[in-house]
Amino acid sequence: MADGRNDEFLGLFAQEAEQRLSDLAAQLLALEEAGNDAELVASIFREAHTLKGAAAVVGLDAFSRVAHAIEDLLEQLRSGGRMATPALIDGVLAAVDGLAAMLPAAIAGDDCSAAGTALEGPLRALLTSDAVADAAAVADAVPEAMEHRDGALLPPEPTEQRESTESTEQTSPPPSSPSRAPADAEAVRVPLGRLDDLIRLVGESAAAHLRVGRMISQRLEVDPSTIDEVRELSLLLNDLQERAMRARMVPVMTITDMLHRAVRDVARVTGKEVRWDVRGEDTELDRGVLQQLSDPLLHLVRNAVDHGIEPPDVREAAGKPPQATVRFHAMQLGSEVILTVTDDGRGIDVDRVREEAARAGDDTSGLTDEEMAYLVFRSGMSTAAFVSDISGRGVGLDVVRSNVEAVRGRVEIRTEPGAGTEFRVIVPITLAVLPCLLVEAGGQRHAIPMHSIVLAQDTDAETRAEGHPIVWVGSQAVPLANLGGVLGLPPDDHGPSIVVAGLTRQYAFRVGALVGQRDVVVKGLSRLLPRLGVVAGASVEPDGSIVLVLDVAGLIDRARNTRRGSSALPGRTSDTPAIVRAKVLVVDDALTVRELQRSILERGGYEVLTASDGVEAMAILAESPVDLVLTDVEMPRMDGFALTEAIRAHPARGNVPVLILTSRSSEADRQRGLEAGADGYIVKSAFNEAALLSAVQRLLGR
Amino acid sequence: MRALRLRVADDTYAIPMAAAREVLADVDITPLPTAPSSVLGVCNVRGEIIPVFDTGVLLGLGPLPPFETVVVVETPLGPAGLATSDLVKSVDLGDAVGTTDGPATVGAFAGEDGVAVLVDVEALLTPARIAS
Repeated sequence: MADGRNDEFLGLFAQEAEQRLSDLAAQLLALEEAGNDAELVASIFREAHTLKGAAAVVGLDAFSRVAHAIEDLLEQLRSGGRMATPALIDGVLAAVDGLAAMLPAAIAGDDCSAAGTALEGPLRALLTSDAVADAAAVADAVPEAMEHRDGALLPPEPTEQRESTESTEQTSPPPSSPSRAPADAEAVRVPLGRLDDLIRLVGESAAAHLRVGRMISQRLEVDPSTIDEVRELSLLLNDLQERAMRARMVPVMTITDMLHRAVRDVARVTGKEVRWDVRGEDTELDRGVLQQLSDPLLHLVRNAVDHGIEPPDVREAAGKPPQATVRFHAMQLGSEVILTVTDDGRGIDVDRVREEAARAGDDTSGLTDEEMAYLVFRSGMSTAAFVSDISGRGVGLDVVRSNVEAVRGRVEIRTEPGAGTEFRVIVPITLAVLPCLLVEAGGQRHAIPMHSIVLAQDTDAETRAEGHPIVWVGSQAVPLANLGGVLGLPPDDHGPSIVVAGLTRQYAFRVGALVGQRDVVVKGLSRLLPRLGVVAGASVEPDGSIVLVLDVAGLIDRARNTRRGSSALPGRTSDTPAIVRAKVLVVDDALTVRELQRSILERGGYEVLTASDGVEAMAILAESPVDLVLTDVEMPRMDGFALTEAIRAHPARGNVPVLILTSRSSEADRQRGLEAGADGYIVKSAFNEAALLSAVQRLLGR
Repeated sequence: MRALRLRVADDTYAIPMAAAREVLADVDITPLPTAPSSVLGVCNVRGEIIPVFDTGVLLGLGPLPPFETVVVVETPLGPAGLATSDLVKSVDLGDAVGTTDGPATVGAFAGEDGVAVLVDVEALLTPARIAS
């Protein structure tokens, strides 16, 4: 019936088959957990049977034959002669994956008989095998299943260029496949673009409505909110807007099958026993957000099984049940959705992370275990030693974080040695509406995304350190800039300040006034405009004015450059290297710390001298002038405070800036350092390469 | 050919009527921080956020004095506003009377009340010219 093919039916079959195959896979996984559940077996049998029939009708015989073999295997289960062993499920799953991979080529009219036979063979072998042979089949079936998951077509089918994009699209696992709609609900598949158009038009209707209201009040001098018809229309439009947004939302269950499958596959390959526990599957999330999250979540669950969970014998030896649990929980909290991946495995080995961090040149003294765990998100942590030794958690976790941050979310980790690890991915429900803090600066209103705001304080909390304004956030000094000034508007001399967090650092901005919190519909700027670092987008206010949505990372960059006096040069954003190399004396009794600081400062363009305590430092100072002293506090013979006092008392070197670096974070110590005459104080727990360089740069005024 | 005559500083320019979408007066422009000098800001046209450019800077004449009118034109990268110094007028352009060497111009044409330099809107509004 190949020449009787009808494109319309093939299109329908493609949709149906995609749905049925994804349902089949989900039900097979359920069957594996439930054992020979008669209802499930019957349901899977029906799916395979229907698929077989539909494929035959549109002339896809190869497809139909594979479905038939699946049906036959299920018949053996149904008649009670056979158990749903993992090996059997493996074989059927591999065939289902193979069919999904074959589908695009089959629809395109390619000859799939070889691919079909390749899939059918192992199934027929399973049909005639007994339980003993089942076990032997595992070895072949599992790698095959893993391979298919990557979306590759089966070997005998060369993929032509024309289909390659199509095939990756169609064979990628959910979420790109349709959501599992409840069986009794009627559903229509709608291209995403149409929904976006709808949402845009609803937004514009709301804006037009506001303009009509304004016109009524201006021309007729009547308050529009007193007119019933106008009020009713605005209620309707609000309702419409909310429902239109909802249309883009999909339940988390559209990706949980894929996650379950990943957990199962990795567990089978690594020989671990894992129970999969899902809750909150009906939690809804913007489809775009969920799609962005499917890779990071997949990575997290694979990691949990592969590296978090111990082999059964190790678990038993540790007094744990041999079967581990990986939990995936989703819940909505206000305008955010929290997705957690929890395992009850060995936890992140913080000591090993610490070692690796030290090897990578980070000073980690003073970091809590919790803070250490976050280091696994650093791309530098994925060194080879790290991968093999400490459970590979460094691999790709920086990618997890950047994917999550791309949808304006964040990742948190909790880990307890021996008890397990929990990753929490926290994202906004939708990207179309962004909760923002509206502020006034330089006489204009600006919107700042709430997710980047650390705190907003109404009081003038400014102090000065190292000749620059700062605010204290806990024990950390955060530089303060004037938002109006940074944006090239008139600066506000007084007013509240907000502290924002960029990717690597925090910064505080003085604003004229805090206006309030609001959900802002963000629009991108024209493609004609060059990329403006400080502006993320814009939004039209109800009165028709435009509010700019600021980009926090860009804002911080610009504030730092302004502070260095380069604001007069537009478009200059990169750090300027010091032309005359300033000389820094590093004083610390720990060789590693000294050498770490030396390498950071040398990379920053400074000339570095080192001393192991205050006495040695004073001897060096007597010999040669330096531009800055960076000193530890606790050292033998002469400590950092004494050194600072000695420098201040020195007739020729009394003006050299002194920066104290210490693990002490108490206010009394800070006070003591400043009293001794230090110009700056860095707490080691807040210490990193960028913080050190920026503190040194500030003190040297470059 | 029909064209919109516009004054940019002391010079008379024209843009083809086909490229123009509408003419706006009394436009509220929100400036964009850190934008190049050719960008005056963005304005709201019935809910659509449209960038407004200093036509003087784009034509290499230097910044405009305070302007009154914005002509909205269509470009392949979306609509854009061109600020002009004076009211615009719809005119008939006659024969070409000379060549021009100014950037993004087609030539000098005889108009109803004097010679106007015809602007190539697409060449005027390129990201490269805007950014420079």
